[in-house]
Amino acid sequence: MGIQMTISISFTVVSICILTVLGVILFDQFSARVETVSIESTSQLLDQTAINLEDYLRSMRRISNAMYYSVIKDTDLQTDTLDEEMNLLYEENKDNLISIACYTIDGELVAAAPVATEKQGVNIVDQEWFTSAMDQMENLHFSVPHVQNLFDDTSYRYYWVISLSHTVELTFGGSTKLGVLLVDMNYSSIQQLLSKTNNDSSSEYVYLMDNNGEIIYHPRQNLIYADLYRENNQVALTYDDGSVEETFEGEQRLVTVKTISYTGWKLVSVTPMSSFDMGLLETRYFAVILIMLSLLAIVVLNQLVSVQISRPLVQLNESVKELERGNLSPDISVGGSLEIEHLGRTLRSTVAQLRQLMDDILVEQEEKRKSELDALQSQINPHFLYNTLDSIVWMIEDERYKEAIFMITELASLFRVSLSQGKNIIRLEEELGHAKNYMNIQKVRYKNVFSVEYDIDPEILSCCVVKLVVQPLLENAIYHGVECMDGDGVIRVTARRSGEDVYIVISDNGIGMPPEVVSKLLTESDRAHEHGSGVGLVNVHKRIQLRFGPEYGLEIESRSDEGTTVRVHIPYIPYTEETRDELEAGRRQV
Amino acid sequence: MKQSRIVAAAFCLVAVAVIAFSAYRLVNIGRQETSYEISVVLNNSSSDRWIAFKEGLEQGAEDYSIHLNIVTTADLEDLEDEVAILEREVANGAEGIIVQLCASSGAEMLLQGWNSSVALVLVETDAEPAGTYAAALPDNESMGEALARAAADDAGGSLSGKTIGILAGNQEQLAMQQRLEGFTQAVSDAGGEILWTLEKKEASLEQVAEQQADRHADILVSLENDETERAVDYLLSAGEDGILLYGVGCSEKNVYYLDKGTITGLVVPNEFNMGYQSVALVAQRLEDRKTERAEIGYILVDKETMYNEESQKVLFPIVQ
Repeated sequence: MGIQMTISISFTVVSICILTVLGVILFDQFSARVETVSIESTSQLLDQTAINLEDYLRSMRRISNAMYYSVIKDTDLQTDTLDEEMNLLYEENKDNLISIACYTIDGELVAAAPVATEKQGVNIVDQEWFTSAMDQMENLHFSVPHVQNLFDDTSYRYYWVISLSHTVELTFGGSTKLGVLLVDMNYSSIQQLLSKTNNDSSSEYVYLMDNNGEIIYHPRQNLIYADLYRENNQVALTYDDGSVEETFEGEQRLVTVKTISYTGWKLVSVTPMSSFDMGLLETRYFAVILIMLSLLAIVVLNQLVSVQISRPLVQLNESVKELERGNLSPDISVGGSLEIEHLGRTLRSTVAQLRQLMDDILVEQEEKRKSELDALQSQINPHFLYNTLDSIVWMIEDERYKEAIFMITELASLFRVSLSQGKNIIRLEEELGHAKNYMNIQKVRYKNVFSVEYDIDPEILSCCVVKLVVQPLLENAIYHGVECMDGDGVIRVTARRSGEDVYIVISDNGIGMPPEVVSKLLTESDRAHEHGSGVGLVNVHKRIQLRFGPEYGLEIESRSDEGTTVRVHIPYIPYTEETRDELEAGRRQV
Repeated sequence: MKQSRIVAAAFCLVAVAVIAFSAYRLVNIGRQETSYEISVVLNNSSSDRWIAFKEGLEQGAEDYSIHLNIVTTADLEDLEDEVAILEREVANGAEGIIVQLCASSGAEMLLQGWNSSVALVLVETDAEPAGTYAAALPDNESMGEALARAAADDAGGSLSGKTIGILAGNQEQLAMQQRLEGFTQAVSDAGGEILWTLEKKEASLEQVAEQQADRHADILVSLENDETERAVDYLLSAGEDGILLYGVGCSEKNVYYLDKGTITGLVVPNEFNMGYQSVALVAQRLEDRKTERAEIGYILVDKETMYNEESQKVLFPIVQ
């Protein structure tokens, strides 16, 4: 995984976690607050409804009390009637009333408003409002809603009423008799009052029940009557005033109860817990949108930040990869934060040091190679010089001064070429001259027991050659080829150009070598040299390869008793100062 | 780096999808749920007998998010006319129809080409053959039996020696046929004698009086609301004492005369329930929940029991 992705994913995951946790906490807080507010609002609504209901019931009680204490108590029914005052009271409150009536303890109608025909055959004393009033005479009694069954209405109308009944003392000619005052409240007034509370479209609703749990009003009352809906009213009856959570028919609900004073009725508000969620649904979606937008912004920001942070590192990594691929001069970028910039600078400086070290190693190796060459070359001098000087001494002792002078002159020429002002690359002409000087010296030393033939293509005389490659081969031809032959030895030196190559062939008709010896000649560098300058074929071969490459060098053919041919293979490189310098410095690739 | 961008792009896509979904739900959250257009075709739609039924319809419409259109009708006597009304309602965009068929026989043929995507629910009476359509209706045969049983109970357990005249209502309706069948069977079992039977089309006040003059019945039985009212009118106009009237009905007039004692026994189907259940059936059919029938209960009341708590709830539905 790349650094950018790591940074981006890490930042994003952390951001998501923080946002989610914050979101959940805030949403929970908000939900709790909304629930609290909702409960308070429900409680206030319930209180307000209870106040309205109590006002209504109080006004009904006031009517009953006014009728009793101001009218009935002051009226002797033997001489007066209640009709006028009762009608006045009814007219004043007829919006909320169905009727006011007064019955004797025997169920005989004393007075009623509005004036109506009493139903025949109705047993008043068995009606629930009457028995309740008689059971507890000191109290006012509110009935549950029922259809009024007192008066005949030829328009076929029947009224749902809530009866307020109260035992009264009726005066007949100075004596008192018990009776019941009935105020039938119009149920639709209570229904309207409570319908307003249930008017909104929310799933919250309020219902009213009496102190026995009988439902007085419910927004789905008809459904309850038809057994199509059920209410938990009998359980709610046991609740004290306040809020309580309950589960009814698998639904979690918040039930708030408020007892209506005097009647003992209970006003119950039911709020499904799911309605809180419904109310919060908009907020929830809004919160999701906000969180998602924030996450989008964070992801984009994370991308930008991670790119900003990782780009210098990635570029640095690319530079390192370039370095790994072998490019020692990569473009190392230096940028980004201070630390990465420092890394870049350090890497750049390290690469520079590395390059310098490698250059140094190259120089060192070149130096080493040069010194090895010098050492190889210096190996020629002591052996050969010793033998030659020994020959010159012998000549002088024999008073062969001319020969001695010739030898010394040739030796001087030999050394001039050997020195070559410290150069390793010389013209082929000089190399062949050097070989001839050497052979002249050797011929004197060996008293012309062999002859030398030269066949040189003049075209190649001006090409480059590593110095002192021909002379050792001639030396080998003498010592290992023709030394023991009695004047019949012939050493042939041929130099020809073939395409871009030059071949210098040294052949002799000496004793030759078996093939197994030939095959080891160019590999066994540490062979002991029995004769000559000590510079073996291996040395010559290596020197040529070091300068011109592994495809060049020596090729040897030999047969026992037939002779040996050594072929020097070098590239054709015309000699100039520049080419010489390049070859000397090892910069020229052939 | 490329992988990181792909992951970021995928995340952004998911986030945008969630935002789009939430925005869609947020925009649509306040909108009303799908409201079905339902037409209701009843015989004499303004009759008092439909008050509780309409109350049930409205409650059902509120609960099931349905927009109701109660078609104003007079007496429907011809099934073809009624089917034409239904087709007109469908053409006007009704997605469901609640109908009280004025005739059951032949309904299937007329409704053969009925668009199956329009939910059809019958009320009160079934079509022939029975069980073809979704329906909200009482057990009509049982109601007929209940009338006979009430008469027998009042007569001391047996109708032996009692003569009966029947106002059989619209006998083209399967419901009326079933009520009549149930009643006649129960009367037969109780030993009563049916003197005459008048169908709706011939049951004028005069016809009833004529029948009574010809063959006097001790007991009158009416099998539908309007016939019960007609029987009440006959009894009031004839001023005859001693004739007992048992009927089916729910109108305020019938209730009033039950209260007055003119009607001895009244079988009252739970009309509110029938209205509510018919809407529920339409809603269920529109949502492909194949509830086919809903049986509606009924009560048998007399003057003494009509103010019982349970009777009051059916006889005098609270209009909210």
